[in-house]
Amino acid sequence: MNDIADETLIRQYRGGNAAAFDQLYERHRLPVYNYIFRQVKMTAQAEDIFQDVWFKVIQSLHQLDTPSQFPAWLFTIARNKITDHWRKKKPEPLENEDELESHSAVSEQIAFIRSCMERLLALLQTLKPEQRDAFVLQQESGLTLEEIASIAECGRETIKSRLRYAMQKLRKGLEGCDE
Amino acid sequence: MNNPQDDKIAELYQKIPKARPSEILDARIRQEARRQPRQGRSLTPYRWFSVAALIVLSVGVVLRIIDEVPVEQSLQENLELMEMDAAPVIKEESKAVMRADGVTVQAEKMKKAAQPAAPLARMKVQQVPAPVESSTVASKPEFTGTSQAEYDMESLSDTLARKEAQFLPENYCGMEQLRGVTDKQLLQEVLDQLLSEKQLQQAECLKKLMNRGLSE
Repeated sequence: MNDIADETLIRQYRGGNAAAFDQLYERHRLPVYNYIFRQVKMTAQAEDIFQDVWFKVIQSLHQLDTPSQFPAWLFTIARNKITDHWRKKKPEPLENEDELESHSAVSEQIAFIRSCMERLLALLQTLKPEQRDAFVLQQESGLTLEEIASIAECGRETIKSRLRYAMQKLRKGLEGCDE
Repeated sequence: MNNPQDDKIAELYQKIPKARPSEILDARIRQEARRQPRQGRSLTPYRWFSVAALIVLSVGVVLRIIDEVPVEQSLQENLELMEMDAAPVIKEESKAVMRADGVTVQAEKMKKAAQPAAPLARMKVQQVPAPVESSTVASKPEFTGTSQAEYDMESLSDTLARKEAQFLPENYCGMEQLRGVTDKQLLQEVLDQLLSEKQLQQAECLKKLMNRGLSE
């Protein structure tokens, strides 16, 4: 079932098959949610934005001329909603990373990886917003540089540059984690 | 991202447990998706085609109805238009007629003059019988550059005048066979017959004829 292309699912949904949307949603919900969550860092705000994104998708899906480019379109909506969110509200102090629950009984290796993850998440917040946006978008969406550039409304080279700077900072901050 | 270190960072990022939206939120979004297809179905190309076909059909029907507007109405409109078109032509012709030798010739020329400018009017002119009796023709008012419509009206009134003249006592009420009949009984029988046939105009005329004793 998961092999059905986005394009086909969109056509089926447009034809009145609501179940097709469930598949589409299931396929893209986590990447979109994490893309939003990594930017706003507040669960409540992330959920609000996430809902707005999908309501907009549902409302506008019949206007999508190129269903094959659904992921890029979806992340464009998400990015626009995040931008709207920051326009309305200035960034707040970050919530503590609560997604990585502490487990006392984990092995030393797992504890090491966990600490690296925590450092990575913390480092992400130190990146410039546009660098973080480019990095998370690339990681969550799996889109090409051209598609990311299109979503971010800038050139391919600009995106490459943002990613390069982001990686430099992350590499520095994650020294010792590559062992 | 060719740098192996970058790949490791990406790998590490992917290992971070994914944040998840709440189940309530998931349910709300799915519910919205189920509501939308019923509410706002998009106009697919097929639907667009249906709508376009319906519009074309409607326009066709309307045009058809417009085409079937009563003939009299369109004839009247055409006459009005032709009145404007034909007027100068007829005026010129009528000037030439004034130099010619009579009203009958003038009327004929008027008909000819109307032909190129007003084919429809020409038909109408042809339907009206040309004047026969010289006296009637002579009594017809002269055309001095009148329009085609006016000319038609003149021809019509001329015809009516001739019909009325048939029922004048001096014309034997249109019954030439009464000429020279003096037998009042016979005339009364004819009168009774006319009344029984409800030819009132002719009967009235015959009454007058009998009263005047014109049966020569």
